[in-house]
Amino acid sequence: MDAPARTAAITSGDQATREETPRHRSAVRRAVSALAVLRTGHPAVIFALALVSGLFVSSIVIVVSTAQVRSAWGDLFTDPGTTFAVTFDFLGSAYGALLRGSIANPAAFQHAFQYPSAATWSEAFTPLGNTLVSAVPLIITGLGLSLAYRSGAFNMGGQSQLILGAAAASWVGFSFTGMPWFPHVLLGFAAAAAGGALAGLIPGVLKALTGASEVIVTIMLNYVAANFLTYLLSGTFFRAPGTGDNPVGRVTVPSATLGRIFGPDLPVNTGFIVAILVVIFVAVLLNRSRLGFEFQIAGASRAAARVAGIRQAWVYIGAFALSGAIVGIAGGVQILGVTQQLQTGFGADIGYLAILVAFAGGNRPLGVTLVALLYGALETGGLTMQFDSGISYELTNVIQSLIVLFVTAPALIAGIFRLRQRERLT
Amino acid sequence: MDVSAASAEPASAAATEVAVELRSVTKRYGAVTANDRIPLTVRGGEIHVLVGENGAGKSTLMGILSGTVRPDEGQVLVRGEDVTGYSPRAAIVKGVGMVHQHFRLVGAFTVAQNIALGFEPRGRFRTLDAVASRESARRVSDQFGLALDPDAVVNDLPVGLQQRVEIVKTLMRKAHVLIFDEPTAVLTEEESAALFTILRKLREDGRAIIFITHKLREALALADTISVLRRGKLVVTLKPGETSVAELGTLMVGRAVAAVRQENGAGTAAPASREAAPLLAVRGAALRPKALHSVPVRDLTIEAHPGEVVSVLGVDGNGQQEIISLLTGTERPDEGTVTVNGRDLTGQRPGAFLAAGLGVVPADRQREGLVLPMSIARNLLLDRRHERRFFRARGLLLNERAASAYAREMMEKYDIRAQRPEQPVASLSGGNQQKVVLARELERDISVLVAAHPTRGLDVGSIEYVHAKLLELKARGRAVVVVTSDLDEATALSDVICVLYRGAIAGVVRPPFSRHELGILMGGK
Repeated sequence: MDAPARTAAITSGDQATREETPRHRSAVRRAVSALAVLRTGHPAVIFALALVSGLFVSSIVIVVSTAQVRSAWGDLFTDPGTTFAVTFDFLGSAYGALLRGSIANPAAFQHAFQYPSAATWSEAFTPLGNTLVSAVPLIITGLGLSLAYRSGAFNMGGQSQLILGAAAASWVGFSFTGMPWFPHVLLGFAAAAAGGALAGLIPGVLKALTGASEVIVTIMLNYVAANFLTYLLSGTFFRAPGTGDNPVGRVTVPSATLGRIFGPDLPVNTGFIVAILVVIFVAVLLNRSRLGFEFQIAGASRAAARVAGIRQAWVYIGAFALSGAIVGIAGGVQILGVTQQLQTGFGADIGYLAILVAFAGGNRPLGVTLVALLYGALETGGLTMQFDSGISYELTNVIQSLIVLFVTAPALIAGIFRLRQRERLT
Repeated sequence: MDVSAASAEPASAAATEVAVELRSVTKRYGAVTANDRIPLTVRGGEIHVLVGENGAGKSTLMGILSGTVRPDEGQVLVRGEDVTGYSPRAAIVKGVGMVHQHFRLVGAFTVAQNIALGFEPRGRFRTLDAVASRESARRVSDQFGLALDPDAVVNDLPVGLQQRVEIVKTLMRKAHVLIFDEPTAVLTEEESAALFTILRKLREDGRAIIFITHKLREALALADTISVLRRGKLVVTLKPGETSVAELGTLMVGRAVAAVRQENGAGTAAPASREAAPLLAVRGAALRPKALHSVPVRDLTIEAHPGEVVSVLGVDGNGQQEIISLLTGTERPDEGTVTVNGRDLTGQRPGAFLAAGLGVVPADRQREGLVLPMSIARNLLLDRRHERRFFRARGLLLNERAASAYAREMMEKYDIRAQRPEQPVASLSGGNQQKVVLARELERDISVLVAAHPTRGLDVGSIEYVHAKLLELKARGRAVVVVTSDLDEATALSDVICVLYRGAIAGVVRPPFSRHELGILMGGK
């Protein structure tokens, strides 16, 4: 039934009973119009339905690929009760683990309420903390890339910018000793931003001056940067003494370490605050600033930008430098807050995942943040799922990907659930 | 569907039978009622002209008929069958075809490929049958005297011929109801005349034709029946013999329109002090063609003095685009100089031209004049990013409140029909989009305006307004350069007309203007 028709049916029903006061009636009407929102394809509704769909399809994958559940389905016609009991049991434990690992463990909360102490509360919030920690670099990197995408610069070089940012932060972190905490950390981030900006400037300048495809240049620079990192770790300056075959970088000094915000037992470090600052900065830049306005004009229509007197070359250079600087900060957060030292292969996963996060989040600050949090939750919850219900690492990856796939295809969800597409005014 | 079997199916038997009937069709967008209980009946063998201002609801109504818009209330009947709320695909199957204002063609494909697209004839192994698609394209185009070469690449064709490709495309899908959305907006006078001949042939064949236009003279010349829409309502349906241009204009706008007759005082009270230094001058400029099919510009000299309107008049494709590029700094001339406000800006970038006091209304408003996904408020600031009033924190941040208030003011002043300033420009009708561009440029503090086709696609009410605005600019002692292919517009506004032919000025004409003389110069004779 159509939403207006439904409203009409219910309101006429109200009048027939004549029991309610006018105030009640308007409350009912308001509730009904709130329900109608569900069919209009509101982004939040789409997001929720995408999650449900992703979990549903994942369930099928789990059922098909898990031996004990599969064998129970062999008895579908002789003993359907057991079949469904086994299936729901297994799915319940798997998704339960996903939730326990990423958001909260009810048992730990209960424990914390019974024996309230810093330690028990920390334990209760640990899953959420883990989610935040794995989301933070994705948020920052995703937003850095979004900034470039909104400006029409296809920065695929998250990895190279992360590496240069991390290397710079690491250098400041282990070689500057005797500095107080705050200036040292600040200097570390400044170095990270400078390193990332440098990695971003190379494709930006090449694009502006020669028209070289920034997609190819950034992807190729990722390989260069990865090998540059290996080179750095093969020398004695960056390599920690005593690590030969599998070299890692020197450990940062305590004054350059991002402290934990909520006590020593919760893994959430000040990088989380950096992420919030970056979200605010990018949101203001894109939505409120003149520079962001100019970047986006160029990103949306080159012809319009030219007529409006905006120089495309400067947009490429500026957007790439700024984008690289933000991505570099993410590298800094990882080094100063999480790993404390460089490792070979650093940045490859985050650099590519962030591209996906940026696009899935619609290149908008809030969207990117939400998708990064979702990915962080799936990442940490997936680990618990592996340990608790014996689902393989590969399968948890498949589940993650399925959920993200549905989230990134709003048109698909709108089609499956027959939501009305939002219409445009002509 | 097999295209090779398609032919002129709707024979004369279908004529005079009711082809389409809309019963009390209503469509709302939020608070706006785009169509308010509209009844419309179109018979086979009838040309039904629909006139109305921008935003009167014409496009929505045709969207309902062609299946892209679902009506909230009312019924749609095609040949007596209730098809309310059908899909665009179903509309094609039922024989309703639309020739869009912005053509839906693949530029790099040939005429035959474009025509076959989506309904390709298949060979024995489900492969594309290129021969069959060429043959059928040729057959249908010959049948109606369309004279199309199936192997021509669409990008190489002039606009008039591209439109014919669209027409053949709809005919191939056995359309017996053809909707034309402002088809003459992009055509020259000759091309329009040729289109009318084609439309009359289609009428004789028994097809129903719905023709949307702003041009009232055209409506009277072509129509069997005229329906007038105003603010979502059908005002009246009448026969062309019963009415006049003036009456139609009044019905359409809802008040008497002054400038319906266009030849009202060319070169009016021109105080053009030609001794004063020109505000915009191009001297001896030449531009070699940069892209395929672009026209070389030779020995171009145009001067616009304070208080003067200069028109560059010519049939499209004679170098207008190149001249606009030279005047606005988007191309640097290979020879010659460009000065704005007495400053030599030869070789400078567009930003310098804007800063020197040049206003630009670009030819392609959707691509060059606007950023479609951005709001009305933002689009009003595109080239006004250095004006203090819209920014704060030393120009770093946008002053959202000031921008929004300003947009509201402009929406009121320029009658931009929209719900709110934050609405994306893409959601506005073509005419309202043009008004956004005009509002931005005319309100800027400029000394000279270069306006390319300033009234293309606008309705009479808006044309009158835009012309008044341009003349007001002139009265304030500014200079205006109008680049246009519309003879009426040039004669209505200009103090000087430079007629353009193949990239060079074929003649400079001062009032009184003779349409005959201008026509001959435009034709290159």
